[in-house]
Amino acid sequence: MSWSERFQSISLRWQFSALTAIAIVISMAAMGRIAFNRSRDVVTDMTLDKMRAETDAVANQIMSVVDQTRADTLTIPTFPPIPGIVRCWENEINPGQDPVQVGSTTELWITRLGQIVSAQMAFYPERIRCAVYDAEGEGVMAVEKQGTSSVLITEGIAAIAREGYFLSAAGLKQGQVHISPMMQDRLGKVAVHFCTPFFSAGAGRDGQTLKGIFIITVDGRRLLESAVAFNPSRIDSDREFDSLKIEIADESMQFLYSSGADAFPLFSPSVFAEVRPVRAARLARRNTAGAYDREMDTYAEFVGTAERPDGRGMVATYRRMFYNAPEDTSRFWFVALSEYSETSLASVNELATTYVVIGSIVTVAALLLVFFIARKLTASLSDLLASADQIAAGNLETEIAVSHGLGEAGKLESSFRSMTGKLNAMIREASDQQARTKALFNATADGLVTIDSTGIVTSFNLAAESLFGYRADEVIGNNVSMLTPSPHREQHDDYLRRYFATGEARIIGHDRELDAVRKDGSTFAISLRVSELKRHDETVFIGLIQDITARKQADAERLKLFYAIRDAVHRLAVATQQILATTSQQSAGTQEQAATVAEVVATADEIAQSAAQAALRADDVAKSARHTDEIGNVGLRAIEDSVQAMDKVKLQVESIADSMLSLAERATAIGEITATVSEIAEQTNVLALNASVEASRAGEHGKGFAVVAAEVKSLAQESKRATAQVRVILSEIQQATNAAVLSTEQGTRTVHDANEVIGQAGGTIHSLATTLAESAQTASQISATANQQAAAVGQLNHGIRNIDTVTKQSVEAIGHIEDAARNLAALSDELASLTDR
Amino acid sequence: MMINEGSPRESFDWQGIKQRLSRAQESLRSAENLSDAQIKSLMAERARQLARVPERVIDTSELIEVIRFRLGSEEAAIETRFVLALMQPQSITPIPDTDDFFLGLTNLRGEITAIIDLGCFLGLSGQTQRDAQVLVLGTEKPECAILVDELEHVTTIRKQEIREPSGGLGSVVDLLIGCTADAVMILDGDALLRCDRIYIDQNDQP
Repeated sequence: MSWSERFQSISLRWQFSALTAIAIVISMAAMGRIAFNRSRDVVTDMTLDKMRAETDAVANQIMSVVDQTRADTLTIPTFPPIPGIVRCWENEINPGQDPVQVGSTTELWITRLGQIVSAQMAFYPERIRCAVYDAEGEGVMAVEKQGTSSVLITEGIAAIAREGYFLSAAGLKQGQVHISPMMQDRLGKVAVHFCTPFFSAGAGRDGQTLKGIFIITVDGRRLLESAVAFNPSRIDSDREFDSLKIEIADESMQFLYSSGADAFPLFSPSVFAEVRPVRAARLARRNTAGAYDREMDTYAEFVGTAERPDGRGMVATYRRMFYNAPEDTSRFWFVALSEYSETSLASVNELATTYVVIGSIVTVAALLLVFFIARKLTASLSDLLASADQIAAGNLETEIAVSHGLGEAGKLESSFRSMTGKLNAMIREASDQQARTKALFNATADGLVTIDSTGIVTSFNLAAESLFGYRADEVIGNNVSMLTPSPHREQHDDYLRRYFATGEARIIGHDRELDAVRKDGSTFAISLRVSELKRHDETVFIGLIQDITARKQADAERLKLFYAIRDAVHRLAVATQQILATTSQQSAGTQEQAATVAEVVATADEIAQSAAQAALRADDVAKSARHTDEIGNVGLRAIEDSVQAMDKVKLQVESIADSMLSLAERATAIGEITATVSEIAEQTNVLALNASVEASRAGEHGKGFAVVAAEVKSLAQESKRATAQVRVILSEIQQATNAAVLSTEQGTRTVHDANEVIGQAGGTIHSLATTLAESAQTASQISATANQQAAAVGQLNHGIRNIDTVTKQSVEAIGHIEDAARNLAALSDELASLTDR
Repeated sequence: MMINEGSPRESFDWQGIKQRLSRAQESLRSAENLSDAQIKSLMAERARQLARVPERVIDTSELIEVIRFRLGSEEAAIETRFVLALMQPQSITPIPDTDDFFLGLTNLRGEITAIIDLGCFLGLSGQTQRDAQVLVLGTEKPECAILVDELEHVTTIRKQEIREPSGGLGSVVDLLIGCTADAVMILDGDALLRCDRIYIDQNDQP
């Protein structure tokens, strides 16, 4: 059994509990993890923001002091005393006297400077000393703070020519300041020197001659402590003072200041690099130009445990300050704040613990709830299980306990209960049915035998016992062939096999009369009806057996009586048939006679109708012949009119031809006249020419006449042209006249032809009319004859109808006789059919 | 039948024919009698033509008056002062045994005059029509007559326009004054009348 199967086989209540526990633990763990990470990030960010603000506050405080002191260091040498001292030193004529401000001496200027410096030092508690040294490093004056007051010293000041800060300051230009690194001297004091050079007051190139150094010394420790203490955010801080470490160091990674109880040793190089390696590495990083990387000036990060030397996570910030900028950016201080993550993130860790506790409580409570619900659920199922087991064991009367299960369990219980109830009822009903069937089986009057497919008897009722003489238990289990005589006894199994092989039923579904064998070996007649019952794969044949011995004897007696009656009836039928045959023959003869008479009547009718029609048609023919005769006469008259009209046309056409001819002759006369005119014109022309010749010969006198002659000539020529045109027109008229005469002649000829045609038509119509008149007369004669014929046929028809009536009456009488004979024959047939059955 | 086939669909337009006839009659009547307005306009036009001022007064000494006629296919002209009359000969009596150009004699107003075929005389191509007119030449009395085709009317020609005849014409050149720009031969009347060949001399007879 595998692990999962084993799990599935244990009780549902345990399965539910286990799965619920796993689900709750997984979901709560995931949610807790996410919430923890998120809140830790948020708290870290908040802590970092706060620490960055504090870092900035400390750094700004330090730098404000540094800037103030630097400003003063630059400002004081520009006040009158130091230039006055320089002027006094440079006065070669009268050393020690000021050449500008008469009456002032070196001592006087020193005293004034001391007063100014002292007054300023009272405002700045971190300043402990202000001094002036000459170019050789010999002290000129110094003001030192002693207690709350300051003291001016002019004698016995130690020379500083070998000090590094003096040498650095001597190399500067005017307006530049050297701020010395923070160092601890032998007395344990930490001093920072703000040094600036001053130069001679003279103009020109000599003006830049170094005359001395002005120094303001600041107490470094006090500077840093006051800056840390100034931090305004510390006042509200509810954290432990020790948990936040404020540390200040310089570029050599030596601590200048370290807060807290476990403070690191000050002024030991590289200590910061050892304890804070991540930030040290970032601070020491330089860019490509070799200067410090300004992008690393601020820092605020969570430093993981892996990067820390002591293996504890830390929230850390720093801020770098280039305190001697812009003269020197190779030295710097930085303020670094650090806090271990277990203190800074304490609230988050507490949250985690709380979450675990609450989660555990919730898980346990949920598990208990699930366990009890599951037990309630499975309790009812267990009860059902027990009941089902009992029913399976056969105890059908088992009561189903009422356990009020939950949900589907409850429904399952109720449906299980209804199922068992229904099943019980069905089983009871089935057993009752079986008992009833058995009683019915035994109560049947007929014998009932059932066999299976191999012929073995499976049941045998009481009636069968009395029929066969066997007891039921003697037959059941044996082959049914013991109840049948030979040859069926031997072949019964073959019958069954054949039926199963072919499906051909010979006995099943039919009543068969057979012989059967009793126990004592006697045979008796039975009626067997076999029906087949197929259940599943099993086939059962049910045989219904009746003893028919008595019935067979009764049948035999009845048959004998029946044969006697049948003989008598047959004799009666033969006699009746003879009567019927005779009557039928007579009837057929009469009917034939009637049919012949009817045919004659029909023929006579047809003849009468034809005669009437012939008379009618003859009348019609006579009418139409008369009509045609009239039409022919009308046609003849029309033809005559046409001939007359044609004659008139011919006359008119001929008169047209005459007119045309006279027109042509007139035209010819016109031609003659125009010839005369033309002749006259020609002669006129000649005359005109002669006249012009005469005029020409007459010279000046004949000029006017010449003009007239020319005019006459042109008139003559015009006349000639006109006559020529007239001649052309006349010839055209002549041609037109000829054409007209020709066409007129054609017209007369056509009229003549038409006349001939019309004449022929008239002749034809006339002969037609004659013929029609004759035919009309003939038609009238035919009509008269046809009418006489029709009357004769009517008389004939009437006589034949009388014969027909008489014949029909005799047919009817014979029909009555025949009906009676047929009734008699039907009666005898009915008797015969009754007996023959 | 043929009458019916004639023109049932377009019957002869007798009305139109009658109208056309009456129009023709009207125009014939009106052609003889000009209306007053037409006569007036004709007369006015004629008067205007007659009263027209000559375009340019031409110096008469430079001009010669000629009468133009056709000889066969050629055109010729002769000064009017050598022409007496234009006539149509009644009959020409041929004289045997004379030159071909000598057509015969005729009676012109009582004067017996010789008729000459000038085209044949000048040796020009083309045949002159026999029934053509004749020009009677002479200054005082008829000297001779020449047969011409189609007389034109009398015109004037400027002497400058007459060109000298070129040499290609042979003996004819002597009878010509010259030629105009439109190829009209101007005959020299004096030379023609003086020419011996056109006179019949009794002595010539063999």
